[in-house]
Amino acid sequence: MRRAIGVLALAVITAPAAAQELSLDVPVRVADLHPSVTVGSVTCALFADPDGPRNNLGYLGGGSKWFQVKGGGYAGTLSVPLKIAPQAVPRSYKCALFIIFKDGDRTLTAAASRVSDPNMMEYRPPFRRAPGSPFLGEVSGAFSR
Amino acid sequence: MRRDMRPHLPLAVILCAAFAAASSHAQDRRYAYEAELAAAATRSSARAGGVDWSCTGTRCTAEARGGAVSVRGCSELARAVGPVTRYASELRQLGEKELAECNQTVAAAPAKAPALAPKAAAGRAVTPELTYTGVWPGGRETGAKQ
Repeated sequence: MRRAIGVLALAVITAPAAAQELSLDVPVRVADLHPSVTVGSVTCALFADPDGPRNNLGYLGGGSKWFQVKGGGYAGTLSVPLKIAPQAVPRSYKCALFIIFKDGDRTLTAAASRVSDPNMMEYRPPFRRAPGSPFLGEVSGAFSR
Repeated sequence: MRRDMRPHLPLAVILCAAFAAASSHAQDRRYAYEAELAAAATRSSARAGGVDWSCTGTRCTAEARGGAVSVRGCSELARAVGPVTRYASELRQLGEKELAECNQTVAAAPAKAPALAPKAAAGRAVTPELTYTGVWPGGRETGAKQ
């Protein structure tokens, strides 16, 4: 009984632990984008499952970071903040590149790998990739602190 | 008490022949293969698992005899075009464990597959570079191809 009370007291006294705040450094290089694109972003997710980026199992949380696109381009490394539960153990990550663009009065956000790929439903000609140019719209892998 | 096996012999021969014929037919038939990639393929064509693959975006297709799928074939494709999230023929597809095994070889070869090589630099997790080049030089309309 005394032990049970002790455990309860400890639970009450202990303040809720703060979320873990992690980050991923994501190098980004975009160039010659359509003039309607003035902002881009990188969104990352962390998973407890090592295969999370593929099967979407064990999603823990994520975060985004914006960057300004000037003259159609940007080159730099973004430190993407990631917030997950205190006890969570991230084992894998996935990050994707997004572009934010104006379409008339609307401001739209789209995954670069979808709007720039002619085989995707979301394909938009203004975001066609330069023929033969390297493209990597998503990255994933094991997460190490 | 001894049972005479002779009457069954022709039946056994017929069954064997039928099985061999069916098996040979299955091996001769060509089946559609399909693979889904984690990111757009790094190449538009690749030879992997003894099969010629054509890739567009995140989808690769092929046609081959037998209809069998193997981790080895998947690994060869992953090494050639990037991590694979689905690897299937009309008859069978790799399970999650097999896919993980398939992509392990990609993770072990970072130079060939930068998308799976996020090693920490100076204690911080760093990912491969996200890269995208459009067709509007300097972000201008002038001279750009539509």
